[in-house]
Amino acid sequence: MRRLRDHTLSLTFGGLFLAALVGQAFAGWAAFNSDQVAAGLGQLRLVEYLTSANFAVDVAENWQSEYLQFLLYILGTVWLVQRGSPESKELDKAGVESERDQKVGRYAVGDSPRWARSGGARTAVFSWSLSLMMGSIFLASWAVQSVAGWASYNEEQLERLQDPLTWVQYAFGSDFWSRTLQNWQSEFLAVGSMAVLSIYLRQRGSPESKPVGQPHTSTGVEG
Amino acid sequence: MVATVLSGCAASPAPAAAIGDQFYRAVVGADWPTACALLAPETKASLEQTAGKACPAALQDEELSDPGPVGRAVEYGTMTQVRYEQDTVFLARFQSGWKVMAAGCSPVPGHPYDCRVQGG
Repeated sequence: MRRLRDHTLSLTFGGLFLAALVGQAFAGWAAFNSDQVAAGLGQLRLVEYLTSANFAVDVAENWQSEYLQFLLYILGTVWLVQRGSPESKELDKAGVESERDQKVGRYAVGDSPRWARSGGARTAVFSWSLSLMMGSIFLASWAVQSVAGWASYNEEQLERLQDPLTWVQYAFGSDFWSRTLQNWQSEFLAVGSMAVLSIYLRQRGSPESKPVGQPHTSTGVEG
Repeated sequence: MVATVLSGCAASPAPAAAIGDQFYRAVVGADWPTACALLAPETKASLEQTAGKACPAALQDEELSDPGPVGRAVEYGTMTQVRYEQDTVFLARFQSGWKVMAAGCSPVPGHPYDCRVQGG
């Protein structure tokens, strides 16, 4: 039970993710079939919808933007700072910091990960592994969005009695960039808001906030 | 002369193209009831409403001609486009199978195809 309690954050969000994905599947299926009926076209069974380009593009376009958001936040906060924000590190620590600060190579501590201790390429890769993973998932999701969006858009083109586009035409076209940018703008707004609002506002008990009594001018202090 | 198909983007456009072939075979053979049975419900209803007569007679009035040899078929989800040498047909997938959504279509640059038979 205690072991379970130690992982409530990941378990809760994992559960919320699955519940929301199931909800999206049913709501998206109903919306798709409603549009099909309105256009005098055939409806899909649930399993057909779940394997359709329409469902895939709706999932992938949100995944790519979320992973891009975290990737940029992880990388941006290496060099960019925000006075007074708990999301920022201390103002004079901008950059990748020293080996000693990062506990790598000969500065590794007793239970440091093996790849932090070994030095060389392994340590270099491990030092960037979080960004590499988030960036890889972002690029993979974005690629899936481009292919699934292309197929979905071409289905609509045929419904409108128009010729389908090539992938290149789609990737440089308005539908792909509209889907992409409408997600990006909201992610950037949320990140920027978080960095600024957390200067002046507090959430008692949250590590994403400064302690309630911490001065507004304190930077890099988490609750 | 209506042949069977082809190349395409998705898994297997052949079943849709086969329906297109069947439709034009019926048209060329003046088998109007068979051709009408292959039309999508919305397309058939629109045809009958516009012409003010039952589908077989209304379809005959559209003077669809032999589309020539089949060219390329592309399938995306519930839609397929089959190009013949002198014609293009659009098919939609229903639970009962592929149906002709628009036929006798000619390209209009920058706009939807101009079709002799279509829904809506």
